[in-house]
Amino acid sequence: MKRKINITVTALFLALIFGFGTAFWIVPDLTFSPEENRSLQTFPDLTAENWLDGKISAQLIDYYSDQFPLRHMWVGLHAVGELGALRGECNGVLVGKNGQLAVRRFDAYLSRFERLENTDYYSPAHVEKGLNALIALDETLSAQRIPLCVLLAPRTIDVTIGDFAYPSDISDGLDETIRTTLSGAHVNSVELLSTFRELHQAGEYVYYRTDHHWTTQGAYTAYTAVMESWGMQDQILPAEAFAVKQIPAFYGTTHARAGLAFIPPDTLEIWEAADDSRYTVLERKGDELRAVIESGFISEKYLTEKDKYSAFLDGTHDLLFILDKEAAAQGESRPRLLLAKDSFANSMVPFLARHFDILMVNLTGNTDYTHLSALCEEYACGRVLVVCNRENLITSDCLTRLH
Amino acid sequence: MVFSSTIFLFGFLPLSLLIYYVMPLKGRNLVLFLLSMAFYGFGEPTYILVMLFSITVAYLTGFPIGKYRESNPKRAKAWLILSVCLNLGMLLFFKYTNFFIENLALIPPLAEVLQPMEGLTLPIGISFYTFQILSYSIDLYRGSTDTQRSYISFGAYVALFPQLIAGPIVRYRDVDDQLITRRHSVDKFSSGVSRFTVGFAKKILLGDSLAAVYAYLGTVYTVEPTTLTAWLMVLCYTLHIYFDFSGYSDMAIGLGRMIGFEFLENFNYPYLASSITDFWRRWHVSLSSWFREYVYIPLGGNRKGLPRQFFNMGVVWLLTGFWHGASWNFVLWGVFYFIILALEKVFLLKWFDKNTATRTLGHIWALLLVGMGWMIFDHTTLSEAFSVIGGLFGIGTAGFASATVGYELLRALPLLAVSVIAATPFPAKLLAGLETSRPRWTVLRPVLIGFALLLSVAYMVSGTFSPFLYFIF
Repeated sequence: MKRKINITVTALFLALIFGFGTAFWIVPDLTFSPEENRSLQTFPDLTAENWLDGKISAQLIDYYSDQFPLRHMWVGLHAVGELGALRGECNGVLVGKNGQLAVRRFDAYLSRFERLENTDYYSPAHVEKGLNALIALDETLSAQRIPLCVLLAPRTIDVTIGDFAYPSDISDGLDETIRTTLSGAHVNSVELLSTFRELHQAGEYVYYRTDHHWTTQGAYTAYTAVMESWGMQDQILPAEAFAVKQIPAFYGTTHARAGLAFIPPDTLEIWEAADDSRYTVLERKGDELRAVIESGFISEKYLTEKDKYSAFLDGTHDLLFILDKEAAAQGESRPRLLLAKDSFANSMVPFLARHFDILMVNLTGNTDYTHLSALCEEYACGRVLVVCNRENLITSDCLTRLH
Repeated sequence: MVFSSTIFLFGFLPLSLLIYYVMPLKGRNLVLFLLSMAFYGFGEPTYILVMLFSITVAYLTGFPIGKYRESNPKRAKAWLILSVCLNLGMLLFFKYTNFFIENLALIPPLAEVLQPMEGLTLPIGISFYTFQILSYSIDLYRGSTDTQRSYISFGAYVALFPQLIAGPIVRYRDVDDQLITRRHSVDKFSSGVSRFTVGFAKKILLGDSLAAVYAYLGTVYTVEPTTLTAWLMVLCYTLHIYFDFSGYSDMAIGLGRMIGFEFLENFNYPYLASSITDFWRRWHVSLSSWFREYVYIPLGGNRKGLPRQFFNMGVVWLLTGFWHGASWNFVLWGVFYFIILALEKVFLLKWFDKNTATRTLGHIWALLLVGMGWMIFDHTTLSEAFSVIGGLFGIGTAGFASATVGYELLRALPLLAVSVIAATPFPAKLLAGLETSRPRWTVLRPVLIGFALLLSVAYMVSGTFSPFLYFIF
């Protein structure tokens, strides 16, 4: 009996290491991982120089890791192990009721050269700096008689906190700081945390379960709140004015980070109106304007890919114009809005564009578009809207540089 | 290359086993020597020369040491001193040069003259293989072993890949006969697989998971230092370092068995220690034994009166601390243990042995001090170490606990519970008991090994899963 057991143990082990060791060389290499949204290491160049400086060993280690057979099955098994050990999260992503996921840990910004990595906490000094920059911007724009509206979108963890055993004190503390600081300085700040929490608890689909963004319904809620803050409530388009097109099987960024296999996917909604084809999305590259989307707001190619949220306004662009081309053709002048934003605003634009021609600058892009008062002058914008997720407030300096 | 990597487990290991077992018995030491060189050269190509130099020095000096040890001990001693100086010199040069330069440069007149040597990095495993090489030269001089005439066999002993980079420190005389003949069998191979899997699971499932919790708590402590965070940090690191290091030793012992070697044990449930003296008989046994045999006893051990014994202990613990790293925290860590061991020697050991209550106090004393010691060990900045140690007693903290750390404790509780149990002999005894009393239950062994292996591979592969979330724009 003992001998049989020993033979079985030996055979099992050898089968595993030789089986996967052989499969590794037989299975064709992949160059890209859609789940991780990154290029994979391919077989390195075997040169003496690369070997002596240690490059080959590092690349071979990455090559083995990246091209390992059934990699996603192993990642899924790891997730099962983590949840089986009652850890309630995987890779810093909380797993809550109804398959709700939320990133819990971030790399908090301390200075240009220093971050507090993988933490729930944020630097109060850095947050204060960001809020003070918004207050200073408000004062500058007021002098130019340009109204500013600030919308610091809550993170998924802030909104869906009730789905987890995780304490809410950090979310609540951050919200309290934002509210008291901005309202104390009389900045027109749209505060949506309690609204979103109530809607989410009531079962409304305002934030994705597997992505870090708000849903289109959430974006619509934000749009109505912004319009109300400007006193334009009578112009708000009712939700019934849109036909909802549903794009199933959407797995977002949070799902990718968690590496969980068994979470049901989200549905991405596109709210379409009959006159969407009036609008166009243009990108400025140097002195030239190029149509990123000829008609409407949606880049259809992304709807069949993993990164479906990028369908809104074709994903990341540093500077875009969203215009009513028919109005422009007729020489009709529309009010202009400068929208300084991160990706949360992309799904809001299809609503705002009904009221404004929009100059949209990306606060987290490669080009520095933080001098908003100058942009307002250059493009004759009558309003400024800053839309930024609280994650960017605590993990980057995109707001502290605004002026 | 570390054992807990896909390239080792599914690349280097199957290839090595295949070549090793295809090769006739006579050529296996050559295979081991070449494979070990490839293993070492994979990450440290230029430092192969450093290791070959050390091997060659000890190999060549071995001949005159062996020849003259009886007929002309003085001459043999001179050759021994040459071997020790050259080998220790390599260790001192690579490991400690910049440490000495940086500290001497603190003296104003020397600050401009002394500059740290750029590009001087520590060859992996040099602390381990240097001690192995020294054990050969010294034992040969003492007559405890014979001259190794085969360069290949001696090279295979020094560079043997299972224990090359993290020990255990195998004394030459413990494996000299195995270098000539060793038994290979399915039973031994299977026992090696079991031991390797246990080590692999200890390292990956427990050690690495505890390290992640510890790293997180370390960040938390810089923002919101609480007493609970300090205690959790100490607990997590204490368990992490045990599973990480003993797991690696288990893997080394297991791999050794797969190729016919038997290495001595390196750990014996150290956290069951009844005192610090007992702890050091159970923790990294191969290092403690090495220092006892090659430093403490030659200095006179406890045979020359108490003051001299304390001096000898002081030397050993200063060296032990310094061996772990070229940094003041390791020196302090060594001194910390010297003071405690001296106190135990003077009166505490006798007191601990009085009755059950004092024996229990001895356990608590050992665990508490070992935990605090690990904080000194882990923090190269001493103020950070003392901040955590002070935090254990509420000094400098912002309260007892925060909601977030309370949550983290609940989340880590199952991991901590399993780790605490796994740090005792209970699981091994339970399995052994079952296999003895109910032989049928032996079928559980391959199931458990298969499960542990698959789950550990999953955790290992998942560690390299790194989503690039550029689209969080």
